[in-house]
Amino acid sequence: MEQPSDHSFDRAFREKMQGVERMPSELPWIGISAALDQMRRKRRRGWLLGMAFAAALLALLLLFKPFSSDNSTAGDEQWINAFSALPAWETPALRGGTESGSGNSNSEASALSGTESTSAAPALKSGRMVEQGLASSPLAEQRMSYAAARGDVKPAMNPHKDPVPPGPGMPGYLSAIHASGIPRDEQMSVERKSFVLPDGSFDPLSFRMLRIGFIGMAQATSLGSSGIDNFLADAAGRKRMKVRAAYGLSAALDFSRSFGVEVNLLISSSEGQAFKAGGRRPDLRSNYIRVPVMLKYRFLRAGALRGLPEAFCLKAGVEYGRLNWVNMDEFSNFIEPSQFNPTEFGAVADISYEKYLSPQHILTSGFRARLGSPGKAGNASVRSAALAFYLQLHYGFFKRNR
Amino acid sequence: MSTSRAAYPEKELIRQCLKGRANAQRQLYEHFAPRMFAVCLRYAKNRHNAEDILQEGFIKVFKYLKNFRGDGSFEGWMRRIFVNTAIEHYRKNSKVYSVEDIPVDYQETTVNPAIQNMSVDELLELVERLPNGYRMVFNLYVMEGLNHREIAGELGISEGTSKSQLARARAQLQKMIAERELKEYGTAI
Repeated sequence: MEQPSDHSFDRAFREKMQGVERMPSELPWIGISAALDQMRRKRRRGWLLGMAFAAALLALLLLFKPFSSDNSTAGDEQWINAFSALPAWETPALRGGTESGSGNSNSEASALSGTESTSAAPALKSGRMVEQGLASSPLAEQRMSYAAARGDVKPAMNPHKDPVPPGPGMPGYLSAIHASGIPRDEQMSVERKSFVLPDGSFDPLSFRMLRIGFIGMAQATSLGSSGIDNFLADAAGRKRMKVRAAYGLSAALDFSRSFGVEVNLLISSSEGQAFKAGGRRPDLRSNYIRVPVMLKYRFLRAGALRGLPEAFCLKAGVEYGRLNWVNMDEFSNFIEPSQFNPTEFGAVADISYEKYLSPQHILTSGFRARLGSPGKAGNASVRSAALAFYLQLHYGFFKRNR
Repeated sequence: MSTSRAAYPEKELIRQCLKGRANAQRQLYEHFAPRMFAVCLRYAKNRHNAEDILQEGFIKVFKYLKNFRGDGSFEGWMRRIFVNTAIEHYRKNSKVYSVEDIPVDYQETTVNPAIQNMSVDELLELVERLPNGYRMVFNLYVMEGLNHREIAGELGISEGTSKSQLARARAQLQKMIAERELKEYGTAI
């Protein structure tokens, strides 16, 4: 290989130029200080945006109050109406009741507004039917059991303060169903429809749930390019791609048992060697802030009636990436952040398994693949792709489905 | 502008700059600007152009200061940024005309001792007079120690072009030095 600068002329020139200092005018500093002021303003704006985002997140969390702490009766009107509007909720026992008493059996709404129910409906509304001794009618008691079984009776989480008929999640709830005189297969149906576990706890899959938590990834990235060997292997076939971490925050909203949406805020690093440029193989490290937004579909759900739920999930969506920094080792002269694309868009696909550690703690593990849009690295056009294994821990806030 | 050395040690100065302290940023600039400006002058076609590179380079230094790992020379890291900025300027502002790979005979002449008799400013002036492409290749090869493959990759030219531009740059510089000597002393040294 040619040794650079072995000419005496070059040596003489180099020696002459070594350690030279020259004073610039004031003009560059004026431009620099203006740019620095702008950077400071931008940083302040970032803080303000962050605080606004945190406030918005807090407001969202307040809207999704944990269901377990909701012991108010303010929404009772709504659930009574919802219960009354159920069209096909007849059992032999109920039919018998209506036949013998109200003479108005077309719907639960009419049953509730029937003769003997006129006093029962307000009692249900206040949730104190049993305590007030108003559940004297067998039919009313029957309906109350149904209401409890359906989960439409608001469970009082503080029974001393607000005693109500046993509801989902309360001790004695299943006994109430079993004592209701409903045939066993109907009872099972009730159990299923109310998504209650045998131990009386909720099946979280049946509720809308806002989850927030942390995510950590081990990811391997490759840069596909004609100008870069990419991170996969060098010419000698040695693996040079390094597995680096990505970590961040994760938020998800489960709309239903099957569908949800998930957003992550990831600080994502990648590292590798084997740039062709210049014949050297400098170590390239890049760091992006990535925000994947994915639609989630849960399948092979299990545990609705036995144990805590678990499910497999498929997720797919888009990702926005912003270059945080890029760095090269000491031997690289000519790569710097401005030569990389500051933004990257991509597609993500994900398969995962989620396991409820408790009704509100969910552990997810899975694999995620990402394909980025074409970008620049030095003189080369590159397209990054990554495969990651990840673990994610969420805490869930329920909102009851109506 | 004063040439006073920074009041803080280098590491502390960097830490203060990372905190966004305006005073530290000014000190860092004053400490390194003269050396970096000399680098910019070698790559630029005039002083005004060199100041543009200096300004842009320092903005990058402050922007990416958090990326400096501290395991090498800070000045070396800065210098790379300025050289990169100069290359970017060259790419933006110059059309690269491919020069045929015509070998130019380099002769060891008596010009080399003449360099020693010249002031740095005189030498810089001669470098400024080189065509853009020649100047870039000459600086990258002689001062930064890149080989022709690397230069070709950086400037988007062929290795042959890099070689011929280097030879032409040397020849032209030697010619200008000889002419200057002739003018100055009536004879080449």
